[in-house]
Amino acid sequence: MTEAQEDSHFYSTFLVADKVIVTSKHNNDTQDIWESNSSEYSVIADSRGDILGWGTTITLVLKEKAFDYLELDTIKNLFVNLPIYVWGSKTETVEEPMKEEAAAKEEKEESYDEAVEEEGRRRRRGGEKKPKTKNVEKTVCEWELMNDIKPIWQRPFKEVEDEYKAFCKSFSKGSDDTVAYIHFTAEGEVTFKSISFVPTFVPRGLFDEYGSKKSNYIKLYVRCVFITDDFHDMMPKYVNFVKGVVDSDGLPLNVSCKAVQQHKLLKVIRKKLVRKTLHMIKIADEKYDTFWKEFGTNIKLGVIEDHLNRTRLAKLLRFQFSHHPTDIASLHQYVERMKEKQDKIYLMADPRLLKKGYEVIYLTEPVDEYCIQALPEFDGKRFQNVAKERVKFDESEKTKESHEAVEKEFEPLLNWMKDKALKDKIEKAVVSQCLTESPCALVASQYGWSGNMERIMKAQAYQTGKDISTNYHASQKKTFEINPRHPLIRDLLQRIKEDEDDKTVLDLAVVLFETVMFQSGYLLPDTKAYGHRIERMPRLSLNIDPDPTSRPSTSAWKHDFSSYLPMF
Amino acid sequence: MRLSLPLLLLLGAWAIPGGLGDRAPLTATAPQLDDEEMYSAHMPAHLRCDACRAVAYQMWQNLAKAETKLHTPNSGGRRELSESVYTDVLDRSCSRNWQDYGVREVDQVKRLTGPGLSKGPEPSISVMVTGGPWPTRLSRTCLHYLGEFGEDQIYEAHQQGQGALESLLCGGPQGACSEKVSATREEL
Repeated sequence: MTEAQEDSHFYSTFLVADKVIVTSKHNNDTQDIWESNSSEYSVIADSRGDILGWGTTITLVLKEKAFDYLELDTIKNLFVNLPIYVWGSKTETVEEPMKEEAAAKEEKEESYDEAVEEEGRRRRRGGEKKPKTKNVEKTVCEWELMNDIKPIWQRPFKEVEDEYKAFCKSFSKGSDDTVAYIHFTAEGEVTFKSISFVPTFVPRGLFDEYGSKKSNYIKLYVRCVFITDDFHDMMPKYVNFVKGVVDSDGLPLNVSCKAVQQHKLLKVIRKKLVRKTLHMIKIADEKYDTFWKEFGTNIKLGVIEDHLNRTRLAKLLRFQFSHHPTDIASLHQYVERMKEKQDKIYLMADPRLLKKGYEVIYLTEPVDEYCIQALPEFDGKRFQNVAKERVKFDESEKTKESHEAVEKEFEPLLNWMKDKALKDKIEKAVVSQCLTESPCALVASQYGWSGNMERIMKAQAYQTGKDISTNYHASQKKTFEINPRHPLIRDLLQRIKEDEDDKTVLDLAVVLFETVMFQSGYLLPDTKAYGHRIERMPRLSLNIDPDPTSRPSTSAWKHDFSSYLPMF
Repeated sequence: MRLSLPLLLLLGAWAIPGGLGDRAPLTATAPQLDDEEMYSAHMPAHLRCDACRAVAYQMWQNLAKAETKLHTPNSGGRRELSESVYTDVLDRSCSRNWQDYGVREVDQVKRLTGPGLSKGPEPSISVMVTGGPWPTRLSRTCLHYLGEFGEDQIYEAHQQGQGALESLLCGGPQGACSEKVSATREEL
């Protein structure tokens, strides 16, 4: 290094320090202190004498804006070719030789070094019995190496194959292992190298303030100089668990944080990083099940939120299927197992579908339905939720005729329900072809909300304070299906034929409707009224007057009193 | 998913100039949208070809505009955008407002209509419905294609011409405008 280079390197200390103190040995073996605040300097003899022994110490009195360098974490993230040590203290348990009881107290005050010397002396004398030792906690001060994260991403892939695990561990401060990692170089207008990885376990608080908290898992470097990890959205919200390093040659060093984030080049880096991350997850192979258990919800959220990468994310989804209820499988596997002429992917169970050998996806988590609805199709096949708009099967002439006959038979009941009992509550009433044990069912239209969705949307609205009752989906009326084989329904048909306006029968119809609404997961609009209606049912069965205002004993009491009246 | 925007009815009447006295009166009705067209979160299948062409047109137009803004063409007279610029331009193409696109019914066939979509002679009068779910659906369609093909491939096709870009996005055996799809849609 030339003198000029040395000078400029030295004067760069004033970028971070208000004052620089250099303590060094003079040629004549005295120790001097050179002190400067960049505009003037002084040189004085060190009153402490020659304490250095050899070498030089440079003391920087840091500027306030550089106080960040006092943090151990910052030092840890610096990648320089020289090792950086920090003088730190730690407690460790050491074996200390124990003398007789009388001298035991003295021993405790003895320093570690003295004890070792004592031991050494004993050994040199030789032949003496080794004294008993005990474990004592001692505070030890020593130099600790800080920057042990080596910039392995700068080196060729083959060279560092064995070092990835260590790197990932030191990156996440030794917390846990990785499920997948990727080391790549991206070319283009800006070249950058990156190692990113997925930890084995979900970081604590991953979904706290989802999307609003800054995560510091991705560290940005430019030519090995740490720039920042304080991003708001380096990675999309749903992959906020990915950790790693991005080192670019092309970004300018002297930009502020905010400017960096808006920089067009960073946009390009971001896009490529997300794609590579999804690729890394895709090729996790045998570890994929572990990944899915921890981060499955994140992928589902990605399908909902990331329209750009939706197709890629759909391939990563896993669900439970009717053919193998204990395993999880991908949509691709479902499509491969589909029947020959099947052109739809069926969601939720329909006993007729299962009987005919069709496989069905079970939506087990609240987010599942939301996630599937965000996909227009998969591999050219559309989704059909059989909880809405039943599947139409090809029927034989005979079956068709019998269905038509049943529909005709129950037509009075269906019309009565639509126009009288459940007026304004339902779109229409139909005879069900798939109910077996239940008396009735409620089916949302294809573009309406299922009960599950309604609850999710209402909960969201509660959070955001929006009123969703005016939302089309919320106001969509449902189709009421009746089971013609159920005794309750058959009885209902008889009763309305006798008297259309029978209050009990009207009530019963509403109770059936509201119960099935409840069961399907919808929210009841008036739970109090429902409660009253339910209460009337047992009254009826116990032959108590269902009218809550009547008191059967009152008339008897009145009668008794009136018989006493003439006496007064 | 939230359809909070009311449907805007835009009356677009294009009347042929000339003496109206000797012609039959011109009439047009608003398109009757079915459930899927009104409420589905996704672009209905029979309009996907139109949507794809609209997206291709917007991408082409924005890229061409950015190219003309370049001050110096590089060697060979070609103006070439850098990766960060075309990535940004394509992003903006998708996040644009799309309010100028809508649906109308011509000869009982519903079509998407808007910049870059007119094919063949225009009817003398028509009614177009805009707003509502259409801008979101178009934006998502745009992002879908951007994600599928990637910025690099799209820009490369653009450099070969508008037709090349449209056939990349919409053509091919699996494309939205392939022969199979353009057949009348089946009953759900």
